[in-house]
Amino acid sequence: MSDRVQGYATAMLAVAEAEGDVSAISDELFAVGRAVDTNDELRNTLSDARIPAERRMQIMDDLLDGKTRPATKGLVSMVVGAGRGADLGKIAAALAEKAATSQSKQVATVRSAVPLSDDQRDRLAAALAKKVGTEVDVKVIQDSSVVGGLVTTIGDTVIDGSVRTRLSRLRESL
Amino acid sequence: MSTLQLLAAEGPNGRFLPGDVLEFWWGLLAFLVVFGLLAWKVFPLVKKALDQGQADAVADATAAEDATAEAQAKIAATRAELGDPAAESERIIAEARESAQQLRVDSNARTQQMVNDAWTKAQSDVSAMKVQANADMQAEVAAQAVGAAEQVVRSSLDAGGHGDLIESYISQLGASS
Repeated sequence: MSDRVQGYATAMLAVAEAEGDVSAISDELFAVGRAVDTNDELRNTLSDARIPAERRMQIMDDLLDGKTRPATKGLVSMVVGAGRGADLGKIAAALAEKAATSQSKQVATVRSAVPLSDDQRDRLAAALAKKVGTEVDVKVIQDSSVVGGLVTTIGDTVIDGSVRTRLSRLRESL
Repeated sequence: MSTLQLLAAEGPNGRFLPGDVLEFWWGLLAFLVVFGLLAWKVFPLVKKALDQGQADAVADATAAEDATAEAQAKIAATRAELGDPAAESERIIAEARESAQQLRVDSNARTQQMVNDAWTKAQSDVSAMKVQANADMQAEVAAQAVGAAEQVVRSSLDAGGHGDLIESYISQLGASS
C-alpha cells in the first residue's frame, strides 16, 4: 500500500485509540470502505473533483447518519473532504491491519453470503486463532457470490469452504 | 612508206648511210640526247611505277589469299557449329519433348501432393473441430448443469441452510487446527 494510505490509516488509528473504541470504529470503517469499493457510482462520486468537497462530505454524512459512531462518521468525512474517498476501502483495510497488529492480532477477512451472528463470529475467531497461533480480528464481508459457506483470508492464506468453489469444482470435474 | 623507199629517196653516197651523213649524225645525237633524258628522268619513274605496281599486285594477291583462307576458316567453323541441321533440329525437338514430359510429370506430382496435403489438413481440421465441438458441448453442458445446480442451491438455501454451512465450516476449521 502507498505511504499516503498508511499515513491516513495511522492517523485514523490514533483517533480511534483516543476515542477508546478501536475495534468498533475499525469494523465500521471497514464496512464503509467495503461499501465504497463495491459501489462504482458511490466511488466515482466521491472521487469526482467537479463535485465540491462539501457536497461529497454531505453525501457520506447522509448515508452514515445514525448508523455509525460519530467518530467513524467524522473520520469518513475527513477522508472524503481531502479528496481520498475512492481510497477509503484501502485505508480502512490498512487501519484494520494496524489495529490488529497493535493488539498482537491478525486480520481475517471472511466472506459470507449472509451476516454472521456474534456467536458465530466469536467461535470462528477462536477456531482461526487456534489454527494460526495468534489472536484474530474477524472482518466479515457480505458477498452473495459466495452462495453459501465461508471464505476466509488471513495474510496469504485462503481457507475456502464456499458453495461457489464446490460448484466450480463440479464444473471442472464435468 | 618503207625504210628502203626512204633510203632510196635520199640518193646514194657510196655507203650504207643516207646521202647526207651529217643529218645522220645529228639525228643520232638527238636520239641519244632524247634517250639520255628518257633514261635519266623517265625510265626510273616508269621502273618505280612498275615496281610499285608489282608490289601492289603481290600485296593484293597476298591479301586475297588471306581473305580466302579466313573465309574458308569461317565457313568451316560455321559448318562445325551448325553440324547437321536436320540432326540438330531433331535433337532440339527431342529435348523440348523431354522437357515438356518432365514438366508434366512434375506438375502432376505437385498437384497430387497439394491434393494430398489439402486432404490431410481437411481431415486434421475436421478432427480438431470434432474435438473442439465435443469440448465446447461438454463445457456448455457442464455450465448449464452447474448453473441449474446453483439455482437449485440458491433457492433451497434458507437461513437454516446457511447456518448449517457456516457451522460446518467452523467445525472443520476447529478440527483441522
